[in-house]
Amino acid sequence: MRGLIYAGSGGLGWLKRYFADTDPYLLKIVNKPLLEYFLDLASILKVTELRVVSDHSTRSMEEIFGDGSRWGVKLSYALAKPGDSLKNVYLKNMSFCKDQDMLLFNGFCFVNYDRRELEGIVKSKQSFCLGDEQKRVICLKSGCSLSETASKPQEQVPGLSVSEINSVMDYYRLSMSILKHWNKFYVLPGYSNQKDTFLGLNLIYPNSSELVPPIMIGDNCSFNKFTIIGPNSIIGDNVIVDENTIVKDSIILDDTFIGAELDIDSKIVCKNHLIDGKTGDMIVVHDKILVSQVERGLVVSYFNYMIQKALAVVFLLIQLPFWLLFFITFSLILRKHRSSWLINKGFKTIDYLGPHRLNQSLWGRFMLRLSLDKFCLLWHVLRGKLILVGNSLMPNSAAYRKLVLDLPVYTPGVFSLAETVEITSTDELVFYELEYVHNVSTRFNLKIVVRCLLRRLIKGYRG
Amino acid sequence: MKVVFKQDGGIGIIELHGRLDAYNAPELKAVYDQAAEKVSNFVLDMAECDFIDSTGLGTIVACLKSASQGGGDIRIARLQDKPRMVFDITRAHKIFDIFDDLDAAIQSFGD
Repeated sequence: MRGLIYAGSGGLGWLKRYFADTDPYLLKIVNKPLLEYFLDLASILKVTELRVVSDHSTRSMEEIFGDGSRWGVKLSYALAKPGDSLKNVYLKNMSFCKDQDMLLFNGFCFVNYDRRELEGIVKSKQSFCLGDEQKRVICLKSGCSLSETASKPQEQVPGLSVSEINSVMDYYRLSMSILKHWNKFYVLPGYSNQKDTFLGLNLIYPNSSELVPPIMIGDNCSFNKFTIIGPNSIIGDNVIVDENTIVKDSIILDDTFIGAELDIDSKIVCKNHLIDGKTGDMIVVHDKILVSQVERGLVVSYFNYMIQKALAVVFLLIQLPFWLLFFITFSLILRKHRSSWLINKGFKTIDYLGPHRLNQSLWGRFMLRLSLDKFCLLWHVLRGKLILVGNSLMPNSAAYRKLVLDLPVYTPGVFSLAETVEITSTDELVFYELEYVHNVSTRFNLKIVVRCLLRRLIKGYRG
Repeated sequence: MKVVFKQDGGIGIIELHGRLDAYNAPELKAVYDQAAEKVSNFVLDMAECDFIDSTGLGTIVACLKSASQGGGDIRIARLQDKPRMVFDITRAHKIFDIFDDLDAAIQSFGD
């Protein structure tokens, strides 16, 4: 049997409001992306090849699920036009679906299953359809028509049902039900040496801290003294909870910091978004002491980090006489205004005289050939605000702020891969930023530095 | 790169072999312009196209614009993994219909 998952984004505006930078199908339900539940079910139903079709992007799904070998299925990806119906998607993937028993998942929903009763579905020669037009699961036996099967949805299939997730309250209720009542039905992440307790890797908590089941805790979490986590709490990866805080009946999503002396009850916390799980009311917290995002950056080794700092010192020393001679006089005479540049996803900025301003005069262009515009940035490397080689430093404008949010990580550097090539559009810029994030290494960084300096020296600045 | 034009009834099939980049894109445009005098609906068969850059994609979009102005359309068939990434990051899949089967792409013009 083959499977096709149509991850359409129609009607998911409410999700964007609450979890803006998460792909809807990667939204974690009890610390596991929704798509992974589909993969688990497909694997139980002996699906050997599975295709994920998205009308928005498959990029982040590919990063997590790869070729599907971890789930014992061969996974491929395809793109659809927004608004395509399941029938259209089926036709567009005809080569994959032709003459096969097919399991089709359509839309943003949760498929409840009881694995003990699923054997019948594998053996049965009957097609079936569960759920409504927008959200459904269809088992289409070879030779059956999709239109006919889809037009006769069934009330019940033993061991299988579809739960709609139409609001943040549905999401909260579903997560809590799985944690409290159905956690034995699914393969949930974390190890469990106690009933209703699932713990991830690298969990740090002192003796004075208390974990009360049912509870699910992700990887790399840290709870400070006198914290009480649980009952009925789902804590994602990379979560920090500060001292004397109580978290119960709540969901804390990945990369979130919870401040000290707080009482989080029946809430969903996603970075700095605080959502009431029972009413759906949301506030965005600007006070970072309460709740905020834990910043993620490029993963570079200590060795790489030290080499970057050492090189920054060397460049500073080499550039210092030229900078004193040319740059100071230039900025005193021409009095060009500094512009603002983004240095992290929280939109912190630094001000400096950027290359596009220098590029407006002959003198400036000469200094750009010597990369003197980077001198001020090198100081920021020593202060730990920037790294030597990283993502492109982006100007502080609405368009670039959106672009920064779209990137999986944004750790800007004085030099970047994008600088070593000719770039004509922001889409291309995104492409090179992603390529850099995937290939980052000490050797790659050194190559980038050399190519940036040589390119500037030979061709001048090409903004 | 090799660009081959074939005709199946009223549908033009343009096969792309190799890399579609800034260097080769004019060749595709030339083949398209010539073919557009005979047919208005096209299927771009990309089964043998293993690389596409932004200029290549820009050329396909220019062909699509030209086809739409003449009341036609361009559909993509058998897009490979690497070019698919470029379609994904540039969000080009929002303007093209992409099929994994050449016959299904051709038949879709009849629907």
